[in-house]
Parts: sequence; C-alpha cells; structure tokens
Amino acid sequence: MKRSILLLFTVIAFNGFAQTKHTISGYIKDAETGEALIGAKVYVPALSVGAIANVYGFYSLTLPEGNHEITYSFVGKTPSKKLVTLDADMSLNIDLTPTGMLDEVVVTGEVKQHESTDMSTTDLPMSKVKSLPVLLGEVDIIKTAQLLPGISSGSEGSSVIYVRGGGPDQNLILLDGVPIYNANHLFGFFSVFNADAINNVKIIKGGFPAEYGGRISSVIDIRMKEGDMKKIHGEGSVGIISSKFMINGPIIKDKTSFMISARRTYLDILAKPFIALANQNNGSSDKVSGGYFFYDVNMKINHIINDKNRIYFSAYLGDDKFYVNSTYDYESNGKTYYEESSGGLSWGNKIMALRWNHQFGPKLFANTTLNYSDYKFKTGFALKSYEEGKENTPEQNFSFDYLSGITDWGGTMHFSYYPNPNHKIEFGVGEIYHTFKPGVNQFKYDNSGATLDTVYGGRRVYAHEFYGFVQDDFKINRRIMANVGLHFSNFIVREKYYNALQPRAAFNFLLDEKSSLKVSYSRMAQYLHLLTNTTIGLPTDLWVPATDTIPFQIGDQYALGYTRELEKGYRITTEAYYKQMNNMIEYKEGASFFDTSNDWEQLVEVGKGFSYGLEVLLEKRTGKTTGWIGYTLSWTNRKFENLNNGDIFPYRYDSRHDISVVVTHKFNDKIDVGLVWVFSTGNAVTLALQQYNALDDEYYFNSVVEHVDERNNYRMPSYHRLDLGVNIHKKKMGTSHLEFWIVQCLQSPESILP
Amino acid sequence: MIRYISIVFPLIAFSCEKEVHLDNEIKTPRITVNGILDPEHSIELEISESAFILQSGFKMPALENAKALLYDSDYNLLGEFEHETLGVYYLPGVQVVSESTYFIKVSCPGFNDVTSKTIVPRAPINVDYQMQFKDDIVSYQISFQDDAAEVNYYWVSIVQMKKTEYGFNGFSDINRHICSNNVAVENQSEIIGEASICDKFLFFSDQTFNGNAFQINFDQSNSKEANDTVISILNFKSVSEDYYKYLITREAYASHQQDPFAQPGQVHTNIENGFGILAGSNTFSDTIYW
Repeated sequence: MKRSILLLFTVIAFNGFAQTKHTISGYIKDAETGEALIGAKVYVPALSVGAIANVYGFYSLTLPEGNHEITYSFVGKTPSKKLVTLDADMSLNIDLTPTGMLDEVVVTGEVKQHESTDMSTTDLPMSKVKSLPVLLGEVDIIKTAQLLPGISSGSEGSSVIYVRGGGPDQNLILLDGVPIYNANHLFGFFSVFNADAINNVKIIKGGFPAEYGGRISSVIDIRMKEGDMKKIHGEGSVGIISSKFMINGPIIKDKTSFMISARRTYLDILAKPFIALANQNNGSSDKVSGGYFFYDVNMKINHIINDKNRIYFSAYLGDDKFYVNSTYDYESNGKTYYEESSGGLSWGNKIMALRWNHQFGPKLFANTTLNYSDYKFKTGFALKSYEEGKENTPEQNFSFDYLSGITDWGGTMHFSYYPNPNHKIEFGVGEIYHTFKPGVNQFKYDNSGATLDTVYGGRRVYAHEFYGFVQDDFKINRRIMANVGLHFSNFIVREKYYNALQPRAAFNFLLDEKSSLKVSYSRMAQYLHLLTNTTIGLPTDLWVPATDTIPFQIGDQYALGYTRELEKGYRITTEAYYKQMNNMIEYKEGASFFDTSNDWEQLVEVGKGFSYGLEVLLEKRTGKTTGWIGYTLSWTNRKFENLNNGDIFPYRYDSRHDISVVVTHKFNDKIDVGLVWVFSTGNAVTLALQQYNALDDEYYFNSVVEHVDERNNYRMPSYHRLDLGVNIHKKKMGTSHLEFWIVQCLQSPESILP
Repeated sequence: MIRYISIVFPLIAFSCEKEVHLDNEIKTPRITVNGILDPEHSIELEISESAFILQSGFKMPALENAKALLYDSDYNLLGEFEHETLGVYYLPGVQVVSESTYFIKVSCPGFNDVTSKTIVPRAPINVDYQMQFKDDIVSYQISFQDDAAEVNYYWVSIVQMKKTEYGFNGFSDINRHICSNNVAVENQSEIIGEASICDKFLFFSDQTFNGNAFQINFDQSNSKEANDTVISILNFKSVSEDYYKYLITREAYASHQQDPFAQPGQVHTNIENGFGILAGSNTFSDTIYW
C-alpha cells in the first residue's frame, strides 16, 4: 500500500515538473441566468485533455505554457471556443448561451459515459423529468428515478425507492449537500422535491466515490437552482391538487441572486364545501371538519464576494398535515354542554445550509458547509368538554401526543485539488451531531381540578458521526482511468465507539473510441437504521442509531459494466453487480411498531441481505424521439438467524424482472408527448394460507394457528402500467398537461379469493 | 395531434382490481397432529385437518378415521393408536421412557401421510424447592442441576387451588399466574419481544447456566383467604427442543395476533407434510399443602 501511494505521488510530481505548466481556472455559467453549469466540459482537442466543472461550476485545467484552443461545452448550450495564451496561471469565467428552441433534442458537450470512471451513475436531466407523464400534475424526480434499472418503487404510486435490493433507509438523499430523512409528501405519494427549484440530480447506485458516505445503497445528490444573476423572472402552475410558483433573479446584478419556490395542495380547501354540506344534512348537532394539505418552500441566496469567494444560503421547509375536528352539543339538566375533539398527524422537514466556496489558488478549490436538518413527526388527539359559557373552565380536558424526530447539526470541508489534467484529488472532513427522538408520549388530563401532565417513552439519543475521505480520479494511461479513494468514518453513541474504513475503487478500461469496460468495488458504512413495517414510507417510520446492542450497517458492492456509444445518439450500458449488506434490522416475528411497552432495540433482529443482478439500459439521446429502455434481472434475499427459522428468504421487493420504457416525442414547439410503460415481477408477500388447531394446554384451548410456511412465501402476479402524457406549450398560457393512466393487474393481498 | 389523442382516448385511465386465484395445492387441507409424549402421562394425540385460510370456522374438523402408529428409535412399531372421540387418539399399554426418541406416522384417506419424531428428555435432575410467604406474595425457590451434556429446556407452572365442594377432585383453581425476574426467563421475553415476565406458565433454556446447579425464583400472589385449604401444584418439566421452539413462537404469535400492524409470525411445527407439534417432556410434579 505504501509503495502504491509513493508511486502515485511520484507520478503526480513528475507530471508537475516535467515541463513549465500553468493553470487556467474559473466558473462556467449559463449566459442567460448565471446558473452554474454542473458537469460542463472543458476540452483541449490538440492535447486531448480536459476537465469537468464541479457542482459549483468551477473548473481547473493545468496545461503547458503556450497557446491553446479550449472548448467549453454543455448540453443544450452553444459550445464556446477560446484561444488563450497561457504564460501564467489565469482565471477565465465562461458564459455559455443556449442553443435556442430546437426542433429536436441535440446532445453535445456532455461527458461520455465511457470516458469517465463514474459507474452505476445517472445524471437525470430536469428537462426529461418535466416532459414525462406525471401523477396528478406533480412532476416528481424520485418517480422518474424509479424508471431507471436497479431502482424500484416497491409499491405502486410510492415515492420510496429501493436500489439494488437495499432498503429505503439506505439511500442518501442530499439536497444541496444536506441529508433529508423523510423525502415524502402525502403518505409517500409525492416526493418533497419541487422540480421547479432543482438544477441537477445525480443518482449513484454503486461504485461510490469516497466523498460520499453514511448510506450503503445509493446516493441521490440534488442541487437547487442558484437564482438568475441577470433578470428577475418566474414560473407558476395550477395543478389538480396543488399550485406552485418559482421566482428568481438578481438582488445585485451579477453579484447576488435569489431563488424562491413554493407549492401547496388544496385538497382541504376543495373539500370544505362538501364537508359543510354533509354537516348541514346530517340532522344532528355533530359537526365534523377535516382535511389534508402539504406545502413546501425552497429558497436560495447566492452571493459572489469576489473571484475567489462566494457564499450560498439555501433552505427547505415543508410540512404535511392531516387533521379531523368534531364538535357535539347536548342538553342536560337544562344546561347546554359542548364536547370538542380533535386529532391528526403532521410531519415535516426543515433544512438549512450555509456554504462558502473559496479558491485558494487555481488548483485548489474548497467548499465549507454548515448545515442543519430537522425532521419531526407528531400525532395526537384531544378531547374537551365544557358547559356553555365556561369554555375556560372545562369539566374535562384531555390530550395525548406522540412525537418523534431527528435533528442534525453538521459541518463539512471538502477540497478539490487539480495538480494536472490527469489527476483530480479530493479530500475532506465532516461532522454531524445527531439528536434522535425515538418516540415520546405526552399525556395531559384535567378533570375538574384533578390534573395530570406526564411525558414518557423513548429517551433522546445523542450521537457524533465524523468522517474523512481522500480520493484521486486519475488517468493511468491513455486507455485506463481510475478513481481510487478511502472513506473513514466513526460514530460515537452511548459511549460506544464505532469506526469503519471504507475503500472505494473504480476502473475504466477504454476498449476503443466508443466503448469501455468498467469495474468497481465500494464499501459503505451506515450508522442509522429505519424502523418500519410499512411499505410506503409513512411518517411513522422511525430513524434510530446504531447502538451498543444494534451494530451499524456495512455494505460491500462489486460491479462490472460495459458501455458503448452507438450511432444516431443511442447508447447501451450494461452492469452486473453483487451486493452484500450486513447488520440490517427487521422487526421480530409478531413485533409491532405500536408496541410502546418495549424499547425498540428489543423489537428487532439483526441479519444480512444479498442482492445480485444484471442491468441493461438502452438510451436514445438525440432526435425528436428520445428516451430509454431499462431492464433489470435481479435476486434479493435476506438471512436472519431468528427469522424464518434462520433460512434465507426473498426480500419483499425481490423482483426477478423489471422493465421500463420511457419515450418522449416532440411534434413541434407546441406539443410533445411522453409515454412510460413499466413491467415488474410481483412482490413477495407473507401470506398465511392454511389454518390448523393448536396444541391445547394450560394456556391455550381451542386456539387456531394461521400457518405461514416461510417469510415472503407468496409471489404476487406481475404488474404493468402504461402512462401517457401530452404537454401543450402556449407562449401566453405556459404549459398544459393532459395525462392518461392505464393500469393492469394491480393486486393487493385483500383481493385474493379462493 | 387530434388524431393521436383520438387513438389514445379509448385507453383512458381506468384502474382494476384483479382477483388472484390460488393453486389448489395451496388450498388442500393437511393432517394436523398435536401431542405430548411424557412418561408421567398416557400417550395421546389430537388429529384434525387443516383448512384454507379463508374458510371460516373456529375449530378444524377432527379426523376420526386416521391411522396413527408409534415407533421407537429403531423404527420398531410400538403400537397403533385407538380413536376415542373427536379426533383424540390414545395408545394404551405403552409408556414412553426418558432419553428416547420416538417416531409417529399418521395416515388418513384423502390426505398425504405425515410423520414426526421427538425425544423425551431426561427429567429435571435433583429438584428441590422451598416456599416462602411475604406480605401477599408466595415465593417458590426451585433448585436443580442442569445436564451439561446437552442443551436443555424447562417449563414451569404453579397452580394454587383451594378445597371446594364443586371443584375437580375437590379443588378449584384460584391462581395460576407466576412471575420471575430471573435472567433466564427474561431471555425468553426478549425473544418474544414482550416486556412481561409473568404468565400462566414460564419456560426457559439453560443458555445462561448450562451445566450448573441453578436456582430460580417464582412469585405468585397469595390468593388464600381465611379458612381456605389451599394447595400448590408444582409442575416442572424438561421439554424437547421442538416443544420449546413451538412455545416461543406460539407465544410471539399469540401476543400480537390482534394487531394488524404486527409482523407475521411463524409457529414452529415438526410435522412433516402436515401441521402441529409432537412434543416431548418429562415432568417433576409435586403437591404442596399450606
């Protein structure tokens, strides 16, 4: 190992001193809006070297002294060629102009898959996300991600994702670098991400770069728009269930910008007249009201201090609320009494991030982030009865609340060092201070003077999670590239100290100018578990830490892939993978999340998961018709010593075949259509199929046992769904969206008949 | 565009719920056998048929024309069970002995044959007990020697009975509930996921005291009233591993059966091709007058 490191630095040093070189660096932005162009390509054809802009649009390229023609390009932008005379380090910011409204989609300026060490990675274009058919008019990033091979939704309509056999807790969902814990609205039907506020989405299923850690199955890195630096403008839409708007623009032109977007559903408002009518016609004094809504707000302020420094502040705030209220009055002894009851549940995330970009020099870029993330869930009910006119002195006042949540305070420092075009070295450290609130019950009772106010339930758990990483993305020779790194993390909880060294390596072997073979290995550690026995990502799902009795999760993944650029904008990517997940948790047999009499650690078993499979993705990236066909062949199993008699059993979302066909066709500037067809092998569910008499003894007599052969013993029939959407664009009216849904063979266990 | 929409329109959104028809094999009833082989008791089996899960009915039909055979560990036939009533079969004239393995085979027209085996464990060794009264609690201290040569499982019940005119043998139950805070029993509670360590019987393994002399305390509320004549019947059994697994899994199954959010539980069975449990036990029993 020491020898390899020495060799690596010798090579880097040799490259650095062989010839006089200088570095050109700067930011690549959209000329119209000033937004950073994440992943923009910088290329010097004469030398066949280049660089890629990072998530802040920053690039750095070290070249020999002399004159160079440098091409800057990005998807959908007109490439820009600059002739530079490089006799010293220089800074050059580039603004790329849009190619304009085209009759067909043209892809240029992107980094080709086969030219990169990225493996199992997809950049999801927001234009594609917005052109696909959507549920109830709500564009959803996560639902689009579910159409990629290796990613499934588990159950219909859900915004939860399962990546290569992993659980829903194993996805690191980052919004501007800050983890989001419950990324769902409306009981899992919508994700919290408002597409209007999003600039870029990167999904990583394997071959994880060392900069990422904390989850073992996937990384979904979502970057918000920064705000237009040139002019104020916005967009809005009115949907079936919600409306939204986004406005962004400069506070100080070319210096400071803002972006704010918000949306709110109005099912509760639409339902009000119907509820009022029902109350009017029910003929009793019983009045009921209720409703559900969610809202979310994204905002960002971006300020350029000078060429070397800029700061960003971004925030997300979202809540869901479901409520029911009722009032009832009655006469007794000539007096009127009122009884009011209310109940409901609410949950939401608050996220804030303050980032500082600093350029130490042309070769060293740093990003420092301070972040805050808070997720809360609350449910409860209250009952109050009082005599007319004595509302303040109720005869009975009772309430019960259940609260849970997780709060993080964190800080990170990430550095990018570009010693020469063949190396990009990244390193950094981070710390997260977690506060887990695993279920607290608050009970209040006041009955004519007798009062009780008590709190009981799970105690708060505090934990520190620290990490450090170093990685080098480098070219070994003209045909071989590698990204090798090491991620180290530790976790301190209840005086227990966990740590994990996580090696990461990805190699790309260029076979020819259009194809390559890739191989990767990554180890990931995860110090959090999600306690859930539902399938749709309910807010009741409880995040809990690894403890002194429940160890942290470890994931090892191996992947082998082949990618080839074909004619006419087609590209095919195939990957085979094997993943092992250790120390996963599952509820014990018979255990229930409603069981508050036990500590959660007593309700779970610890075991392993295995997943392996083959993914094929055929994409058409140019022309009037674009889209992809994805196919996944996979096996996913679990093994727990105390579940299923210790035998291996299929994971609930073990799906042998998954196919997705995604097509968009642009007829002209006014009309485009989208089509999505998905097919999936049915889920494995646990069904008791026979019942029999139990042994009579001192305790049980004449009791019946419903017999379960094995966990997930029954395979539901296959499922497929076709969605069609039509987008009609009008200059004055914006975009109208029509949608059609065709669903076949949607089954639930309740529909099983003898 | 209108043309395209008109083609697509007939396919406009609809949802469907499709009925899933299950294979007959899944619905076919199987033989259910339940029985405990204990040297202190006569040999008895309850034989019934299982039913498809959606079939209503509290008790499954008894099988009254089954043929049940008992074999020793060398497959020597020990006898054929006789049907007494409602699917209850006895094997008169045969007594099982401790530390022996037994096999059964049950067949019935219209069903696949089922088989099972169990071992009758050695009775608890060197059992001694003491009783103490404090306030309203009766404490029982049971001590015994665990056999180091094998994994052992134990089962305890203590029944308080008082003399009445109408009770069985002149005595009626007044309290069966026992509690223990011993770590061995707590382990069992953790397996089940229950905090409670009080029940009508308790069971535990020798995991925490393997091969050692062991003393375990059980508390019971004193239900004796003035002028009552009260006895406590102590049953302390060694049980087979299958029986222990059955007890653990059934306890977990029963404790959350009414909770729709509870994870499904598997009740252990050792009946090949069928359901139920063939258990082995060996009982130390004593009656304490107080």
